[in-house]
Amino acid sequence: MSPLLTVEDLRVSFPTRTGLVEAVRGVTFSLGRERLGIVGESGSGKSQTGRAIMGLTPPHARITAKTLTFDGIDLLKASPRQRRELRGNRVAMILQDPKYSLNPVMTIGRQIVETLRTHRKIGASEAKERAIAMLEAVQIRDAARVFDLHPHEISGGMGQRAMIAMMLIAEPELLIADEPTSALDVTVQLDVLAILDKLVAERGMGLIFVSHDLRLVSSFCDRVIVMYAGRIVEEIAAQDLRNARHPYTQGLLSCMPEIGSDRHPLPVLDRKPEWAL
Amino acid sequence: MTAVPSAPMSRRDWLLSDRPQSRMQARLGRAYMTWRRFSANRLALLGLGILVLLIFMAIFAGVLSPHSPVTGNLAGARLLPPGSPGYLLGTDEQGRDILSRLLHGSRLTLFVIILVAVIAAPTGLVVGAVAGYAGGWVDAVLMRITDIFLAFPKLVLALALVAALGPGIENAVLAIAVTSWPPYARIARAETMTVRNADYIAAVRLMGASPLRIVLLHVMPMCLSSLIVRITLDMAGVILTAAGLGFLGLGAQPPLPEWGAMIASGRRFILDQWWVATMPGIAILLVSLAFNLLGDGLRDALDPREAGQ
Amino acid sequence: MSIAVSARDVTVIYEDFKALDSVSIAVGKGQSYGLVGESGSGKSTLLRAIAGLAPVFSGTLEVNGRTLEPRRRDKAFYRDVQMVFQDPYGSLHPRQTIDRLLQEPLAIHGISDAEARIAWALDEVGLGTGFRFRYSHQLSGGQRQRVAIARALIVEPSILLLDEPTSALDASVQAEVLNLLEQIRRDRGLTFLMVSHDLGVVTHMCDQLAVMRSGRVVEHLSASDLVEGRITADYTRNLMVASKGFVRTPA
Repeated sequence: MSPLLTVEDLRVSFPTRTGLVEAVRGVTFSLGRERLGIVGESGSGKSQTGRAIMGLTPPHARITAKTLTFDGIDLLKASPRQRRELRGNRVAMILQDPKYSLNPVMTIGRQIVETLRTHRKIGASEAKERAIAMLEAVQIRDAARVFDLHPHEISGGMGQRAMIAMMLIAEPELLIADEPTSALDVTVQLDVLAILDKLVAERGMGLIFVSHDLRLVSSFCDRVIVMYAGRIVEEIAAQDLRNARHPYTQGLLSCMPEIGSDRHPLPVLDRKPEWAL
Repeated sequence: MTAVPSAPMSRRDWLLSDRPQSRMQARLGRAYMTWRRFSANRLALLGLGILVLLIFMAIFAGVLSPHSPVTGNLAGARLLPPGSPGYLLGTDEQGRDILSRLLHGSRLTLFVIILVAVIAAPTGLVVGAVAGYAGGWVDAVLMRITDIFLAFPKLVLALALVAALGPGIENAVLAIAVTSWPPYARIARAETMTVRNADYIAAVRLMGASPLRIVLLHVMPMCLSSLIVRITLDMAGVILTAAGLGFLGLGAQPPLPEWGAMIASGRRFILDQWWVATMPGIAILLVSLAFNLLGDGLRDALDPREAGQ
Repeated sequence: MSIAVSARDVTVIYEDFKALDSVSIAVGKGQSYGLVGESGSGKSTLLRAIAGLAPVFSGTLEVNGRTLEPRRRDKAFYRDVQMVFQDPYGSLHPRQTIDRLLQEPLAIHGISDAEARIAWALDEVGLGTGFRFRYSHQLSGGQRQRVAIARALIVEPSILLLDEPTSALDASVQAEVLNLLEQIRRDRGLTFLMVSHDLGVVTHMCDQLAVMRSGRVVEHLSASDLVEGRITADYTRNLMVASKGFVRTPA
């Protein structure tokens, strides 16, 4: 089976006053219908990688790649129109904070229906039915009531679920989730992940899960890419993470305080300049 | 890595250093960054240039003027058109050189601008910052007072004040200042409300700082840049109001060469001797425009939300 | 052991919302005490109430044996108690250099030898004087948090209130800051009252903790109780499970 997404030598750079800043420096990976985690600290280029695939990089940024194809479509050569059609329809993205990604003056329901009707030719009443069904699928109780609420009237966890519902309504084949649960409480976080997990499994989507939390990602994804300073330093199957070879991955894993392990002081990461080469 | 600097630093590198060695260098570096943002805007530079020219004209008015601004040559030089020998911009109905009057008038214009800025801005800043930080009834009282001033059209209120105080340039300035602080108070209050609950203000409170100290040293600096921008943009309006009062005979009194009063007296000849009213009009236009351009440039340069850089 | 901070039946009400509902804790001198909970649990509110930043409706707060008034705190209080905030990007004044930031507490309390103290405080948090005249936007998150810690330490308090001091930082930077905090506590015999949503961080840093939920304390327990699973409340157990990461339930 050919991969859903192929990324080869992706580079994203931003011109600034002091010169060109390279956020992503030659990232290569491919994705099938699986859960892939991209992990790194702030400034590692993990989010920019996701955004570049989605086509959400700010216009002044420069993106180059040897290959950047989604299901055979060259994303770099695609017209803005083509990309718009892909976005939301076949590729979708969930952002960290639902507060900023939901339109505050539109009801939840209308936003979902609108997303659906931009991509599918269906009637208003059917769209509403499907939106409510989708809200139920992300385990929002009383979906019909939530349908008519505005984003400020619901909690953060519910907002993130509504966001997921909106992104999944058009049944995309690829979902990019950028820190989808970081703004949520731990217990809610797991609920949201369980929903995401179920939907990915049921619909056979490809998922890119971008996060700073190595432990969470490794418990959720099949495969993990670890990024540092715009490059991939290690690619490893999630269950093998304990045997990670790269000192950065090892350092990331061991520097987190854990319940029951009594390490004082905590081991700190000794950043080697050669990692960034 | 060695700590020895490899090459002597250029002045630019010294200013842009991200490890300043002294308070002075940090401050200069910051000013330099602001200047670089400002000077990237050509029009703003033009505005600044015009204003520098205005100040230059005001300082050297005595030297630059070919004639007296108050006493004219009634017999030989009434209403001469621009370009007449010795009278570059022509003369008015009393035979006074318009160029000389404009040059001396720039002093009055600057006088008005500076006094209004000095009176209105601090008043607005203090009222707004105190109201915003204190909240509660202090806020309510101060803001209702502000609202009362805002409820009247500016020019009408200024007119009433000048009528009560008596005509004259000082009273005109006072009237303009009294009517122009309320918007500044509103801006300062709005800015204060956004920073008063910030953690860095809470941190200063947790050091035991008095409310006065917090407002003066920590809140007000955050209001300054938007206030400066607003004042600059308002200056055009102030000049026009001053000119308007002058035009109505309530501002500068003859024979003072105030630009608005000059237009008023030239109005009678506007059809036959257009230059008498037009020249001061152009001067007002240029200075107002310069302030607007400058304000725009400052808005970009001083934006407190620059954060990163 | 004498008590450094105690709260008895403290209730905080914001408008109609009960943020804290008769909460009691007691922190011994030199102890490191943790408050764990999710958002809205009231853990930060308790910290802010002690610091005088939240309106106390009823109950008693005591610091070093002195009863605090509901709202007012005197200068002496702030020489004893200092706080480090969660967001290193919001807790440093954007228009002041580090030097100016650190001078402020010294000026307020009329402490002399500012020069030496600033140099020494920066040194203690591992920043060195190269950072002294920078603005906060020229620093990374971890460096900013070190500055915030230096600012709190410069008046030599005996109690440090820590409001999620590392939750906005990357994991590797978090480890560095946690180590720094531990070191400082050891060197100066400080009392810590630390708020966090991360059980791992709290058990690492604290010997005693209170689990909070919707304005109440669900459970008081020691770190070793938690590690060995001597838990009575279901909610604490849920938190424990959640902190271990995602578990796929077989369909």
